[in-house]
Amino acid sequence: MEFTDQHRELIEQCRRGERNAFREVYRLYSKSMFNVALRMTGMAHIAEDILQEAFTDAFSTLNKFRHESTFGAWLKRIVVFKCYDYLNSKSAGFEFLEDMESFDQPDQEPDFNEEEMAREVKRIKEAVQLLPAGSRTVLTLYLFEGYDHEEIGQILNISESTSKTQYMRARLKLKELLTQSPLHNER
Amino acid sequence: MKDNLEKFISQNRHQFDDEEPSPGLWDRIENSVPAPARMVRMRPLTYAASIAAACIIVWIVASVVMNQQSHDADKVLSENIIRPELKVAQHDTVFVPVVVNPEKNTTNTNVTNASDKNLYAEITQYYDAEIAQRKAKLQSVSSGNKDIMYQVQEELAMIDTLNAQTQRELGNGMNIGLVMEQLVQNYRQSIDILDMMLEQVNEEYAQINE
Repeated sequence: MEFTDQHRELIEQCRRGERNAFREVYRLYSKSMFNVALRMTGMAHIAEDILQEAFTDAFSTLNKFRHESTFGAWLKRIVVFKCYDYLNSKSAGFEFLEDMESFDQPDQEPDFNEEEMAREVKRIKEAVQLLPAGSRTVLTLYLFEGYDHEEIGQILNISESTSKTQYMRARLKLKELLTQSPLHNER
Repeated sequence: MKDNLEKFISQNRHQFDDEEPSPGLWDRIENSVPAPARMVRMRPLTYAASIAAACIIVWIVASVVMNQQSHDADKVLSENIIRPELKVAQHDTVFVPVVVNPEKNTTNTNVTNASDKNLYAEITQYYDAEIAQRKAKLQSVSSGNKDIMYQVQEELAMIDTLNAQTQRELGNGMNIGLVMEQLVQNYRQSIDILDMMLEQVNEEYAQINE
């Protein structure tokens, strides 16, 4: 979401404790942040818990926000870190894809109508959730959230080159999953 | 170079944010949003009160000095009432008797008693409001703790006593600048004490809740 002067004043209103301002910030950012958390964790109720914690933390520590980035970017970082903490705490661990054979399929640019577009979006979302947590996180942060590999490395405490490698593997695996999905075969 | 998957996602990014959190989530968040940190805001108020007090003192002193400039340069501002004296001219110099306002230590008849009363009212009004605010905060933070509120009442009673004394000094024609300065000092001292009490109560309750 683009940072605008209107949002800056809204943040200042939050700092002054105006309750309506808090609600408005939630209205502006909750949907996008929820989808960030949902993509990373794969579970709606976990994503909601993380969203609640993230907003509460953000509202409680507004004095630490110095407008060095947009508020949305600052909030997203809080959400991402909380998602990472959750994934890291799971017994399955934070796994990445191992070495895999390169997946060689012709990369044709499809032409979708609106209905097919919605179906393709659904397919991609479901396929992303089938990736291991670590690979899914790298792919999500790069492809959907706009972080570069240096930032991803800092968030996940991995090297930039590891992030790049994991992203390439995740992308290849995703394509494989999409090709193998029943919806793809129906086309 | 982006492949088709990346292009598709990039071009249709907004479609991937189609999920929404449940409606009740905001209520849960709102309940946990902390109230504004009043303790933090106390310091700017205290600082603002200090600046306001300093400005008032400067204004008072400036007014007194300006009044003095209309007199003979040899006269010194003191707490004694200046008694008018008639001097009989022995030469061609004529001394004109100056009517002295018995309630003030100044001979400038342009300064009225009403302005002093306004100034007194302005000062007391401002600081009374500051004190009332702190009293309300202490009431709230301490949940009306009897011991704490008793201490607050004692402090407020002390202010009343000092202000009554100040009013008597004004009526007795004491130096206005010094009187007003003392008034402000009394109030500032009480506000500092109330601030310290508030800080102490906040710290104690924070420790209890840990």
